[in-house]
Amino acid sequence: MSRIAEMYQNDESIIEGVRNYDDAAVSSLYKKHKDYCLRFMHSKYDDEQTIQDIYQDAIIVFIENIRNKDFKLTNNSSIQNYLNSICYNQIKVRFNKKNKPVLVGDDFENHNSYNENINDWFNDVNDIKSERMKVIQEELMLMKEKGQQCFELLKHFFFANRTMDKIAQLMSYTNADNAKAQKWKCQERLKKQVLNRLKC
Amino acid sequence: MLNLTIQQIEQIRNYFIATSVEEKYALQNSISPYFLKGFLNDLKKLFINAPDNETKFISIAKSMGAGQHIELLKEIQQQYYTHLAEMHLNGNNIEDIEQLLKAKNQSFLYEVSYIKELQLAFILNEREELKKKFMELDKADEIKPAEIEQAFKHIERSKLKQQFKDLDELDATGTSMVAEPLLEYGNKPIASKAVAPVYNFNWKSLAIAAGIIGLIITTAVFLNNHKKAGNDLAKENAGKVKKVKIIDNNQLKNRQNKIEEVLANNTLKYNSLQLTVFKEASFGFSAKEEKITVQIHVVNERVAVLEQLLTDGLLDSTVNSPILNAIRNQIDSLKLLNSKYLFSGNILSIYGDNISKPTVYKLSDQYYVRMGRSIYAVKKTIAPQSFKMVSDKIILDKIDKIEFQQQ
Repeated sequence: MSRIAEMYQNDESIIEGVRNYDDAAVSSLYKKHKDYCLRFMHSKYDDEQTIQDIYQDAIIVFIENIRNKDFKLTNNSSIQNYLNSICYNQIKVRFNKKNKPVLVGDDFENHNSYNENINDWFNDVNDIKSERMKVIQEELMLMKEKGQQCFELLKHFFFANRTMDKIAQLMSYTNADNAKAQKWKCQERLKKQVLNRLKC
Repeated sequence: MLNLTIQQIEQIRNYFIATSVEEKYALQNSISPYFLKGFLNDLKKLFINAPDNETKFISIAKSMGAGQHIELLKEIQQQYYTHLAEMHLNGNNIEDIEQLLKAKNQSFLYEVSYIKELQLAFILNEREELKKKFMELDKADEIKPAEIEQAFKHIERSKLKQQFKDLDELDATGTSMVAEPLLEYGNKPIASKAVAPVYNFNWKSLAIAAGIIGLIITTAVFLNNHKKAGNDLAKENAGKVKKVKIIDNNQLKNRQNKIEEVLANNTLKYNSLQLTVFKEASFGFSAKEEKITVQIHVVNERVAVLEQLLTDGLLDSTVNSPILNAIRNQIDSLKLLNSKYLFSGNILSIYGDNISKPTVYKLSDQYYVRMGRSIYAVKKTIAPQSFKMVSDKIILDKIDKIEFQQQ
């Protein structure tokens, strides 16, 4: 068994690792539950590509929930059960709006494999279509590719929701205010680049 | 008239973006004494009350004695709005925020929406990155047959070298006294006679690969256990006399050779044929002749070899159970393939035994294969399919006609 697999054997350690932005925990989460979840979905649908997409999205939803909310798995629930549940509900949404999917075969007949009441999914789908959003995304990627400190600084704040004190500590600023002033400059620079591109 | 120094501007800037009341208070005290006591409050009012009207902003700033620093003040205002917008999005609404919201201050509202989009942009980028990562993980799981073979060769070569070295040492000492298990399992010479496998489909690759990888991994597990067992034995022997089994070198070599020989055939053999696809005759210019490759894989032969390995007692069921399981898994995978086919459009792989030489036909884009007296329809597939015999009389008649024309 690899060191990573040893580290992330149970749900708690995976959740903790994902919450701490540990890449290995994400890999472990993705691989550990994939086969079962795919088989679970395959018991109803054959569209391999869609099933793969749903699984990947389900993992992302789970990761975002772990990182952004005070997320806890309910009693008697496991990561596998949670993933099955949101995959199950997605299948319902995408393929079978009227009829409830009938999952058959293997242990899927045991409905403890999923919980119909867990139907978490992306709730920002309608917010992501603007041209400005696309440009911001692209500019951020450029920032990242250039290896700019700004990208890290903004990511710590806007994505990882870290406090300015923590960011100052992580990025070696003398204090939180300095970090905040630098963050604002980065934000403004990005804003100018975005506006320039939108004007063109 | 008040003249603001750069230092004071910075202090003001810091005052406005300070994160705590204590910090604000400390900064207020640190600002020079002649700095008007109410200046900061006025400035705050300027930022909040003289919002989107530039003329008003300049006029108020001048009346406060800060006419030389309009641009800097605007910048500080902007920074303050950013600060307030972040507070607002975190659910911390102070009086200034309420006022800006009530006044529908466009600069502030723009800042709020920009920050929202910025947060979402990070989330979307991260989602894309995760998707890429997942695809890489999936790709990493897809082991190409060539990689398997390469890995297998690499591991086996080094293990073989080690084993030969051990045997030379045994030769030098004569009879060996070792506790069971005696052999390192899975040491396979590079197959000289095995046909190199050319797998075209992932499913098939994985089915076979699972078995081969299983063997490699379990071999490694076994070797590790074996080594550990050896170490434990050495420790135990240091304290007491242990009952050991005496086996001479010839017996040892024979067992080893047998296992090596079996594993040398670890590839699935096949015969490859290049066949012309027969079609209905057409008038006018004759179409370009179509050819496909048919590979006939002899599954049962390989299964029999592996089953023999299970039954001939070369492997001890207590010590070698992981290896035995791996072999059983490989047998199961091979049996699943039996009497099935895979078809990519130009390569048709047929799994089975005693397959008579096939003939391939094509009618309106549908392929048919004759094997013996039966005719089967084959479709493009990435997963192994069972053969479906054709019973449609019209199709059979058409194929008969093609066969007659070919004769």
